[in-house]
Amino acid sequence: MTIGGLSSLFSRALDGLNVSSRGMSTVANNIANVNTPGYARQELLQATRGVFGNGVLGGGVTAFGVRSLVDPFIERQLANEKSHLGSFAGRKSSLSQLENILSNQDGAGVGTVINSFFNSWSELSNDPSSGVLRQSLLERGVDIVSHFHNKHAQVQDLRRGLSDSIEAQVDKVNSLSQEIARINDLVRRAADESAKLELKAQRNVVLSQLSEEIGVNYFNNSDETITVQINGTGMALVTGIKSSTLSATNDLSDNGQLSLFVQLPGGTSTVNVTDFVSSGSLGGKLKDRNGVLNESLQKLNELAFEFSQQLNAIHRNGYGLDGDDDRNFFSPLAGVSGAAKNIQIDNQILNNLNAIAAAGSDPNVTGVADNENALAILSLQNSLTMSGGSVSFAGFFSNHVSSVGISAAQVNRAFESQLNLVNRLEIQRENISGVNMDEEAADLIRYQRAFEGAAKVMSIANQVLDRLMEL
Amino acid sequence: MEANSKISELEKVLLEEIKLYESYAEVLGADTDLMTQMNIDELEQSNKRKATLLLKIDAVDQLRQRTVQEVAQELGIPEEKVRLKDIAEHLSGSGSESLLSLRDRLKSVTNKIRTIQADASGFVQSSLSWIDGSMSTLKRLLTPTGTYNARGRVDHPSSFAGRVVENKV
Repeated sequence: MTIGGLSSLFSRALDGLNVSSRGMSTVANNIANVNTPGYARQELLQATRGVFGNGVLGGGVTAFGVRSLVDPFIERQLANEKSHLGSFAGRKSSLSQLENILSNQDGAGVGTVINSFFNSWSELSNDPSSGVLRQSLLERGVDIVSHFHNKHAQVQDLRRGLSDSIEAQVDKVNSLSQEIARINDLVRRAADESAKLELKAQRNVVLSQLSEEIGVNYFNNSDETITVQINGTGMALVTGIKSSTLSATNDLSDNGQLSLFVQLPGGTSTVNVTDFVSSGSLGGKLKDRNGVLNESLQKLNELAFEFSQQLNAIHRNGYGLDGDDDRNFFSPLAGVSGAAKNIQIDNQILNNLNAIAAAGSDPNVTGVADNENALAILSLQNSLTMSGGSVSFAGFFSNHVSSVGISAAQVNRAFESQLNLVNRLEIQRENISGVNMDEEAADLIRYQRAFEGAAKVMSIANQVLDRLMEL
Repeated sequence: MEANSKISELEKVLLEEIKLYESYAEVLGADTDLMTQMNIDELEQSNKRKATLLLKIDAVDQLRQRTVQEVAQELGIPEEKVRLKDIAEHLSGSGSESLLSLRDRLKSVTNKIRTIQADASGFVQSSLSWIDGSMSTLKRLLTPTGTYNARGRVDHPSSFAGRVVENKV
């Protein structure tokens, strides 16, 4: 046997103690973090130290680092898929609320009230001079007006709520970006590898939260900090130890957009990134806020405008019981914008039921109230008046409601399948990075048995050696 | 002539004992690496090898003690507390040198073993302390924290008690 000198023995023992204490603290860390979300199991990297001279026992052992058991591909894929999940989650709620508002639940849909209104014209055409039927027609007209007002207000409320939620999320994105920049700084300054890994694990958790809020792309810098960009842009939310500021401006008009801007750290100008924020919960909400909700308001406005315009055009041609013509049923609207909010029964009709123009000829001349104009108005019910003459009033809105319903169903299905995908990726991540308490406990018991065995053998050896004290 | 034969036998026994101690030192020397690398399978094998070597050492050492007594009898040395050094003093030049050389080798290897063992022992004790601590941490993690139930008594969910395994997906 060749054993190095005493100094080499001490050196090897010192190596062993250093390495083992690091190894043990790594295992202890794994156990302590078993329930920490996003924690990646750590492993001590060790190698045999080079041997000098002719020693055959090896030069001891040295630890050259600690690594986290992380699969970068899965981590990146998880962040990406969580962004999509966040997007669907954000849309799921708003679309189902919109569907509830627009749909014909309880017989209160736009199509229903429009048909009721035309039914009243039909009834009036059977007895054009009936005051009761004129009153009933007016009430159906008021129903249509209040229905447009209510739907417009409900969609606007939903849009306002979504805008508030987006603005709150913008604050959250800023807070998470600042946190990543702060951890980046700590990672950069950390001297101890194990502390660095813990900080990186914390950073992964924050990054995962951020990717649920907004789709991001990230890459590692040479100083072990990370740069986080909004997906699809080079616009950085975090660059090393600095974070950008995301802000939102909300245009409350019917077609108004909610826009997102990024102000780079230290800069004064802002860049509009609205079109690039397409994933994450923020992206999903933004898509509905600026897309389907604005579109719904637009459809309501178009319908209210066209309906009042076309009905007025025919109404003006007819005569009331008082023999006057050229009167509007609805107050004239300035334009499509805000039509659903502004539509009103014309005051002449509200104040005088005889002003309802059911007759095609002046009753004062003909001596009888005919129903020609009432029938002309009734013909509007099934006329292809909307979308360039391709669909009726009721059909026009029904198509939009169906489209919202289909989108809501698609988003629900996409959310469920995306959730499954994220769950599967979480399991894969857990298999690689998770701390398995079974393994840790079993290892501990094995360590204990082996080390106790070693201690017992050494105790016996000491007894044997004691007999050699006097040679 | 009988004394020479016994001395020759003693030298053989000493050589065998030195060989066994050197083997033990070699196995023990490799243990530190096994322990630091947490190579438990190898460490358990090593423990078995060392235990076997110690049994052999014990047997050879008893033989050495018997042989020393027999040599002492042949040379007329009082049997109580007889040492190799005492026997060497009764031998002529080359016989004495040979025996003292074997004695030095035996002392050297046992000293090395003591040194390695002292280092390894500290290492083993600190490892066992760590294992105990980790076991406690594990137990604490798997034991639910008591909480107050609706009637104000401390409640320990029984489904958790004694569990060594965490929930896995």
